[in-house]
Amino acid sequence: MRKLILVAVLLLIVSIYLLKAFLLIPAFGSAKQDRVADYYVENALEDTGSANAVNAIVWDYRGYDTMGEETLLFAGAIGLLLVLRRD
Amino acid sequence: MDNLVKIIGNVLFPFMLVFGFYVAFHGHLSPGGGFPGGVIIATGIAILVIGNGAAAIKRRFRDGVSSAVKTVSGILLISIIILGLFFRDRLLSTQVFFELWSGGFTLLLNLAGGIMVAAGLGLIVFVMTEDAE
Amino acid sequence: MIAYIAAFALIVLGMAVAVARDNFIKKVMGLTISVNGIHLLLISIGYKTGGIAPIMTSGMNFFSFSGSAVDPLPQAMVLTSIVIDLSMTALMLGIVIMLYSKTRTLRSSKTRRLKG
Repeated sequence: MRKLILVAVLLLIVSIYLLKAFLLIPAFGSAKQDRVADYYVENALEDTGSANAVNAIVWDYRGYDTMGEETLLFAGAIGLLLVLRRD
Repeated sequence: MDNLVKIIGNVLFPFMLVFGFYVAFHGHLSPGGGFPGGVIIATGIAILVIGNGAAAIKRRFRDGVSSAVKTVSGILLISIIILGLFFRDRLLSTQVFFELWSGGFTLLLNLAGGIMVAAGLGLIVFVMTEDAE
Repeated sequence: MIAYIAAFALIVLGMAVAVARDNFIKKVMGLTISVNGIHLLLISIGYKTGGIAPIMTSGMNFFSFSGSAVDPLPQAMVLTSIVIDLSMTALMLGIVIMLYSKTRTLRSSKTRRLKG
């Protein structure tokens, strides 16, 4: 019973802050694109040759982020190998 | 129950492999790309491990193959990114839009990224199913 | 509008499960649910009413495409985040396996004391 009250108080505090953040989001379906996204959608076909704008962003315009993320995946698998050694 | 899972897993595995490579190859023409394709291939390997048991599958791979595949694909990814700095215009002029061999370096990068994700997830599956206490 | 409410419910419920349950594996599942709620929130911020996917097929008018395509930037961000979340879940489950082989129990109310 005490645990239930504790969890309810924690959730109340977290959801108050979340609601205050949610009121700053623009209304659903009325996203105004900033200039960077406009440039990516219009020029993805001529610059990269790929018809998929999301693919062009992930592998070409922001390729260094993808390289860092692959390093992180690699490091996670090696970390798992280290944690579960048995000798 | 054991035989049923094993038989269905063995039948389904080549189809999942082909579908995973299809999704990874056509990353520049339809939604998907490198990462979902790699995950599909790794799920096929996981279904094999569930049906047959981990010891039987590990006997068919030599020791350290999964780490070697991951290292090679990591080197391939980084080298393709660095090569793309220099040879981009020459590659782009030999291609036609909306065909399979288009998209400059995104086709090769999708393949390398898909192989790396599949090898990483396969390594995680093999490490977690070691038969020990 | 429903997408925002669903994302809020997923975040709060995931956190509730991660705090209130006793089993370690249920705690890990609760964290995964919460992270997926954040992904849903990020994608549904960039939606335009009556928009199409940002993929161009042959024979499409160029100006109608670039005027009504949804925002592709949050989708690229969430693709990266899903892979990172996978690696994080794998490491958490590895730690749960090591914890079980040292203390022989999966209940968090029995592993209170730090020893060794």
